Amino acid sequence: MEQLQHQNPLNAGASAFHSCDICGELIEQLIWPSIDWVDEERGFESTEAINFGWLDSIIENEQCSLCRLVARIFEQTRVKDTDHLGRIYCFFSKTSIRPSTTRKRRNWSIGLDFYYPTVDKKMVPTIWQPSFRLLASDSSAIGIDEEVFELGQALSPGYADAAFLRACFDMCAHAWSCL
Amino acid sequence: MRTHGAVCNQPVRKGPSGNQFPLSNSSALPVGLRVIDIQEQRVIHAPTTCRYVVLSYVWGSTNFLQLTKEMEHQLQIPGILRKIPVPKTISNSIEATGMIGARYLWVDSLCILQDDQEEKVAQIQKMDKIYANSLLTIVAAGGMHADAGLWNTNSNGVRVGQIREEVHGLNFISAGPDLMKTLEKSVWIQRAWTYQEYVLSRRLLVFGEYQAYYSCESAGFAEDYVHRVSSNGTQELQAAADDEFSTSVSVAHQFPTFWPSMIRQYTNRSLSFDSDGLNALSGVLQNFSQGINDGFLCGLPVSTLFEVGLLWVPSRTLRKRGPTSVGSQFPSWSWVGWVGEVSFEVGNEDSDAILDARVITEWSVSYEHGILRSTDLHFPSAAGQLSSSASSTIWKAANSSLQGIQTGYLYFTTKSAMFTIEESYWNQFVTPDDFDCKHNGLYRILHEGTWIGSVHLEHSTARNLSVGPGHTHEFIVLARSGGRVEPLRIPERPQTEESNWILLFDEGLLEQYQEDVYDVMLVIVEQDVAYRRGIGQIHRDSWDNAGWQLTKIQLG
Repeated sequence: MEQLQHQNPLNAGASAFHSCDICGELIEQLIWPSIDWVDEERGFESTEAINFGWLDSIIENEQCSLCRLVARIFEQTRVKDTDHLGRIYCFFSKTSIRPSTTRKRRNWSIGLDFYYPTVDKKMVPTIWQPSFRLLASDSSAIGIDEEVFELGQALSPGYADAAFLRACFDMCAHAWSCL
Repeated sequence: MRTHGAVCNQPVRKGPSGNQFPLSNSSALPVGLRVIDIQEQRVIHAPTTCRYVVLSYVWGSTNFLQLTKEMEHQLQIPGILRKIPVPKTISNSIEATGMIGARYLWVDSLCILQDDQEEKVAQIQKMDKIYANSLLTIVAAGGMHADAGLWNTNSNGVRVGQIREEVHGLNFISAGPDLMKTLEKSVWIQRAWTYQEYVLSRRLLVFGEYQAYYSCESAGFAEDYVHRVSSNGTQELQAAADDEFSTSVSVAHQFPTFWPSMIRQYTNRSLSFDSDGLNALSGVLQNFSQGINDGFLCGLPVSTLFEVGLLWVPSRTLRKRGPTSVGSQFPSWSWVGWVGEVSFEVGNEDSDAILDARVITEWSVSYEHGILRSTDLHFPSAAGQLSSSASSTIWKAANSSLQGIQTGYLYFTTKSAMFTIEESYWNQFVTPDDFDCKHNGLYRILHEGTWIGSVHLEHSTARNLSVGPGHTHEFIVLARSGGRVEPLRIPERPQTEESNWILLFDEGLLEQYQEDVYDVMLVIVEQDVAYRRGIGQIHRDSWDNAGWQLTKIQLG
């Protein structure tokens, strides 16, 4: 686990590294998250942020699918034409979760924090909160026999998903009988 | 999946005092309603029992198919909408209506005769019923004009945006923006007409650049989101409002419960035609009337017209609004007389406190078709709930008489006095980053060299008024503040949470009761008609010792 702790960019400067060799272990960290604190009253636990490394290193690792995912999400959500303050660092955000009985993650919406490693850790402006989700159809692959939350759905390739529209509408409007 | 049941079928809105009122107080269809029959692909007069979907979209500047007297017969021919060019947003909406299993669609451009002013006015006044009685509202949030379409696909008809990668056997997708973010960055939300279409909707089906969203009274859904998968693999799409992990809750929770918030939000939006200043809000005003047990005169609440309604101040630089559709000038005393965002800084709506503030007890308004007197408008109370069917009847009659009044002169008698004003002192307290100090400021009101009050003015207005020594300006009293009424106070630094307030008159006057002030209006008088230029407060004892006189005011 020690090797996953990337150097603090505030201390490490340009010598901080990122290697996609560790992406497999990062996935393991996502599945078995380290807990920062516990909210016993509400039954939540807060995960620790996961150090993902310098964005330029991530972007260069085109062969690594996790690096590619993060790089593409950054490109999609970043505000164009903003002034760059230098290199950008990336973390998987802290999140509130309810872990399974086997301590696995059950909440699968993973936020991404991009920031300039200046003293005040200025966040990189984004159009919306960059994040990714596990596909709902893959939720069983985590290997837990409990409810799983905050999952993703692939968008239908054409235009609107008629099944989605109908499902939503039927759920709250089926009492209307004169359609 | 859980059924929402009556919560979504009979939604309610919350009033400022926590009271609830129905989004629609009648299920009867508005008289003369037309709809598009998507099975027959034509425009028809709505069947009595028809359940319809409505479309909310941005018209844009392009010319497109509209219902006119000349086109009316042609658009009633079965199948016609398959044969003539229909704007893409409307044709997509016809498809979406079919997808959810509904048959009828209401679209303003095809369901209101666009070249019949009388019908347009009549339908606009029923906009609250048209939206509130619809099954849902399709929102075209991704486009800037009527031909943009609902769904965003590339030239091959494939949706773009979602990123997908497989990592160690697990498939991950990028998450799109949530519904509020999608609406916030849309052109749709910047348009004034869409405000009431948003607030008055029973359910929203929003098509953004990235995906579709569904939002009703009790839950929110996004196409790319599955809220929960049970251990047996059953998927639940919705994120309920009370769920700890909800990321896409109902937008109904965003709707204002306090009418000043509604006015502020509305005036921050833009209109293509100045003449629609009140038209585009008339449905919401009708609806809010139920919540505050009050009616609106030119966009201001009647029962607290002088104590709250007239006390709006600009948040940005305003410009005079152009005339109504019949060429009349909107009044300077209402926000509708101006174009730009306004806010109300008086924070107390308690009905007893309002009575304490009352100075002007009788007034009248003359408008295009007659005169209404305050004594004719018996609203039960300022903020209470309807307590009986009798008071409800009185309210409805009074409210009905206010409908359609867009312009008018206010007549009342009040104290007036002349004072000098001194240039802005607000700028010395605020930093350049503060949102409106560049355009507005507080100006000192002086009497015989003593600073007795302050008036909120746009800098451009102050320049035109010749602010400074040697020039006096007329102020009129609208209400009194003190006791339980919050005085007009301008925050020193509006963007902070701290309640730092600027002193509105000389510190030496604080020996007397500091909140004992008059709410005043700075007016200019042209041909015996007074016009609003600013709102302020003056220390009451100082005013009373300043040689005021009782004056009959005609406020235009």
